[in-house]
Amino acid sequence: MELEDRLEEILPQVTNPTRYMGREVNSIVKNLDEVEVKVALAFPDVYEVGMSHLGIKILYHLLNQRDEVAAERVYSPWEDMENKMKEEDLPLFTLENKAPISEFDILGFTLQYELSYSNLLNTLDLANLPLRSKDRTAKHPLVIAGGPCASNPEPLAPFIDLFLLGEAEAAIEEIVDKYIAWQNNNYSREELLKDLATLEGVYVPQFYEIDYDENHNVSKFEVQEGIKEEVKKRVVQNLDEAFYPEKFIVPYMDVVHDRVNLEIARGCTSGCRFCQAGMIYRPVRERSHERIKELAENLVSNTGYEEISLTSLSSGDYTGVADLAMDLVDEYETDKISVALPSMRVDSFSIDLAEELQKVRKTGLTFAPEAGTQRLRNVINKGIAEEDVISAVTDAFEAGWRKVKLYFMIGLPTETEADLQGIVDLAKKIANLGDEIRLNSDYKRRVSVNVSVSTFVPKPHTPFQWSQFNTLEEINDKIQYLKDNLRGKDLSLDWNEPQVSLLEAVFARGDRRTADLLEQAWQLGARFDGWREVFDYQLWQKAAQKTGFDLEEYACRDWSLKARLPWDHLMLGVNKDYLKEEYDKALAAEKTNNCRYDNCSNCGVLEQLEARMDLLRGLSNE
Amino acid sequence: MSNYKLRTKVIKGAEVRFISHLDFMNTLTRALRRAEIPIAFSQGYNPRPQISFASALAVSLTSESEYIDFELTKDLDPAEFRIRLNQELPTGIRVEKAMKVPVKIDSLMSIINAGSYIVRLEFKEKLTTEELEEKVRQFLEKDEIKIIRKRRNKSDRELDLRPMIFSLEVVGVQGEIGTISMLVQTGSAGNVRPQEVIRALAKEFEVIQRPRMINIHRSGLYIKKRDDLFTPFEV
Repeated sequence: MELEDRLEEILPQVTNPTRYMGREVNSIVKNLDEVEVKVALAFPDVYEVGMSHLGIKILYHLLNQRDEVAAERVYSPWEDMENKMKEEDLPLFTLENKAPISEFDILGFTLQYELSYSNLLNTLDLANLPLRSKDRTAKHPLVIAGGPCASNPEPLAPFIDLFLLGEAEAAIEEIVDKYIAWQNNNYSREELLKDLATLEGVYVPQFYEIDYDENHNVSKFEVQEGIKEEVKKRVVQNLDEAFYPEKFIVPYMDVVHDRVNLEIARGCTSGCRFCQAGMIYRPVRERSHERIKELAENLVSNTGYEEISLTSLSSGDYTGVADLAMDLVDEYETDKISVALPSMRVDSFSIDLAEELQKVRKTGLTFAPEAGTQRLRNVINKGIAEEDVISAVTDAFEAGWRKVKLYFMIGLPTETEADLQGIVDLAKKIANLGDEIRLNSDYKRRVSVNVSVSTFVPKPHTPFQWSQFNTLEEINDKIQYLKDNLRGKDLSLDWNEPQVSLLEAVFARGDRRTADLLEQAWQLGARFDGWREVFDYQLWQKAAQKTGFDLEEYACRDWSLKARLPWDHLMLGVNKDYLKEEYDKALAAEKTNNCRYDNCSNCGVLEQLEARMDLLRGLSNE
Repeated sequence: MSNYKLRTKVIKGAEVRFISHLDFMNTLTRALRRAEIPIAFSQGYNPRPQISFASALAVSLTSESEYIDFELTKDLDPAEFRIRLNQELPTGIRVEKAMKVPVKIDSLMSIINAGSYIVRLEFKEKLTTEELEEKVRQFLEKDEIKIIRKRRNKSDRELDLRPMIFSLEVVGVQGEIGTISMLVQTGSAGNVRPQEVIRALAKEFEVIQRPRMINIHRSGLYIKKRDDLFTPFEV
């Protein structure tokens, strides 16, 4: 029986069968016998999460533009579906042709968060592929991976044939071309990998031998003859000329971002020292208003979506953001299509704009002060003062918003009890302010101030890559402090599971030895570690025990500023010297200006990548 | 501003049988926008397209008779509406028929009171048509057919299906596969799901215990007046 028919029998028995159905509007189903290269694009999480990801959309449509290439999608089956597939001996398949993954030429993963690694291994296994690169041969798909976690891909090094650093749309076609040439010439798999390794941005881990000493420092780093010592990320130089999909797939089921996602800019120069995205996606490049309007029109008419969301890391910085947003509102208001602008910095300007955009529906507003005191905000270089927050929430409450969400981190470098108390004080001040405004206005409904606290996890290629991660005891004490003190009318507190953050910390700065830990945990049943209802810490502890790891000791260790870091051979654009300088300034609570509006901070990205900041009206300091 | 209303009959085929009622609505809304059909929106903070259904179809059922009313802001020819929307609808969903009706017409939901279904079943063992017919006859002779209905966030409720089953007939049996058709009450005054009838039937008779429902197909929705059936196009 065909895989598709067998699927028909299984689907009524699982939750959300639409996840596995495919056939959505704008999905591209080619005849797989008529193409030269078949690429399976995998997002190692469930459909509704994976379908919201822009990167896969870009690659899917870019690759499918070529007649000789078919790109299809695959997501992680939820546990019930995995069990059914195992019972029925059904291999993992793509949504388009319901074809087994093992029949594809290239299997590409996007690595968006560390907690999806167990799902990545599970994907390989459900596809009946050997987990380790060394056990796969030319008859298996070439397994590649990219995305933010590829900036330290060492924990996955044994499982992945090649990593692509940076923006995949800048290099994926070169990879495909080399693959086609290899198919036609029939040389060995190793020769293919050697050839691919000549491409800028391509990192083939098996050509790099790395070892570590008992202090976890890199003790050996050897590169095979003819292979580059350092791998530099790829970037798109000009967003107007870069490919952007105009026929998004329209899912049947409700996915996380079920709307037209229109990327208006890439990169961010705010320079928040904890933020990996802010460091690794440089330089800043803006898409022109004309191009955005053209894309909006085509995307709306091809999808029928009712919302356009203008996305970037820091939309408030985008040149002429208000003009663009208002032009779009004017254009689409009569068709009942709304325009949203997430990732806005907190200030009165953004409240005015938000009010314009939301007109009457005032749902929640989110602010991210990140730290409770000015001192600690200086440490992390979050360029936001308490007065800014207060004046912005005042405006918001006065304009009728009732729900405010405040994001903070705990466990940041140099944090003391005063900083925790700062979170409590700021939240209480805002709640009181909201209540005062309510009593002096026509709004009857009480305000609600929700404080959402996450544990800081140090990330590679950031100034905090040398910072210590808090112990579980420290984190628990801090959460307890907030639970005890952050009480009162209109206040609520959320926090995430410290053990989940600990695991994230293990892999974020993990080296190649963590691969064994990961494989062991997967074997014991680890799946969907980012899902609270599935995550099982005991299972990870058991895996750690079996592989000789102490999770806490590994995650919370000291990092030497002098030592070679496990990811030092991977160049994401910013210099290590710049990161060190920023780290020193952080410890001295000194701020660094945003180079978009001020002097160059010498992060090195423009020189390293031979790129330029691409702003619509040029740099203000030029 | 005077609006216009089109009443339609829509097919929901096997290709889309797993999409939920809400997903089905969103799919229609987005197809309307792609087709640039001037659909009317509700007033207020959260404008919703003015689309109303006769009765929600459960996940995994197929149907050849989903009746849907569309309120439009422009007077669009029903044939053009059908053609334009069909061009934008995904495989498996098709507008079969469209007819102009008065805007103030009684809502589909308020008039529909009967639904017909065809159910294909796989039995545990071989059965003849006559055997199955005999079972069904006995089943229908009962004075009451009590079932327990589970309700989300509410306590279970016991109800009697018998008065809500208008007819139940064996279409045929081949080996282990049987086909049964039924006409049951639908709507706010009383609603029967075809699965409930099959489960009650299976519970009564050992031989057809726990049959697998291969496919449930909604073949019609009606306005039942005494013994006469009218379609929503006939009002």
